[in-house]
Amino acid sequence: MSDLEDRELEDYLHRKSALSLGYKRIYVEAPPAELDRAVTARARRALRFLGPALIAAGIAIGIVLVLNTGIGRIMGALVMAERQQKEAAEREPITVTIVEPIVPPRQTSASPTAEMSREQWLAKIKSLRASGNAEAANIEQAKFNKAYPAEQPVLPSE
Amino acid sequence: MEKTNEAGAIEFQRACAPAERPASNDVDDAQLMLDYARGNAHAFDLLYARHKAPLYRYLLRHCRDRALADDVFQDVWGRVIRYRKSYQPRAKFATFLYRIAHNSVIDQFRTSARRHSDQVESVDDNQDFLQAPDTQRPDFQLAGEQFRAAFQTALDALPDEQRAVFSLYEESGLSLEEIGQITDVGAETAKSRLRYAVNKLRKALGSADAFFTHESNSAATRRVKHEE
Repeated sequence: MSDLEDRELEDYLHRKSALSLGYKRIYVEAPPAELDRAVTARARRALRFLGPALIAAGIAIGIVLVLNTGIGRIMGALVMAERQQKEAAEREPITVTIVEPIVPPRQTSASPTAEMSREQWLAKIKSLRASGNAEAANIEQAKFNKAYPAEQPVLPSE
Repeated sequence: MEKTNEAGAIEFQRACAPAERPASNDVDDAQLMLDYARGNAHAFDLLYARHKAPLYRYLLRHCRDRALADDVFQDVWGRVIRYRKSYQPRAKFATFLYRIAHNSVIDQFRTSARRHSDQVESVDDNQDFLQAPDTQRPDFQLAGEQFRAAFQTALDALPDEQRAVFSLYEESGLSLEEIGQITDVGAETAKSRLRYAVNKLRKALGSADAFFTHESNSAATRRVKHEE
């Protein structure tokens, strides 16, 4: 390409050349009115379903949210209950040891009075035997053995 | 002479500013498209009013068939309407629009059997330019018809790629880089195609240059007289 052609192109690119002006002068067409109507009507038709579509979408979203919220709460409660149950099962069992209460020696009718202690009772039994009253001694001995079962039972003498 | 012609050409442009080539505010175009996507039908009306005529002329020049241009025109705006939700203002709206238009024409060329039809209805029958007030003079009409015929013949003789780039540059107001993006070529390739187109048109219209050169001088003269 020559320098002249380069200059002509540069002139043209500035949109001030005779070629560009001539083009703009002779080509002035516009789309016919029926095309305008068809295009603008189509543009409006595309928006016509926008409103109801938005409403439907809003309702659908609302239902989904409500369902999700309700189901979420229920599921949450179920999960919590299950978790608590598991935790309870995993806890160590509490063993209860029943300990028998310490019971003091039974105070029976045969037991001596509070005034006579165990040593005194044994002394009495020994005295009765020494005096030859074996029968009375044996009776007292039996009572003593009953009152003090932990003691080595003393067999009645013959 | 050259300076007179250039000054005359500038005056000619001012005096005969085409009414249907409004300057496109890129920010407003993108905002209008976004507004339309949000449901504002009036925003579409404004956008359509801005771009309908240049787009229509581009399609007439490129398709060389009015019926085909009408079909593609509706198809292009139909796609704009359909893509409104996914539209993102990453580039000028005009780039978006003419990209759709260019692709639609290519699709039509592939499927239409009327691409190289001699039954062109578009340009030869169009007498719009003769309706302007200052064009009623017989000599102007004759010269204008001759020039128009010569221009159309030269334009039709261009290869599709060169005619597309030339028509895009004339009608869309986009830069060569943007035109390259639309036609899937680099800016230098677009410039090269435009250079070839301009060169061929100037050679074909060499004698017809006198038409608008004369008119530019007349317009400049009338303007000077008015100011006095």
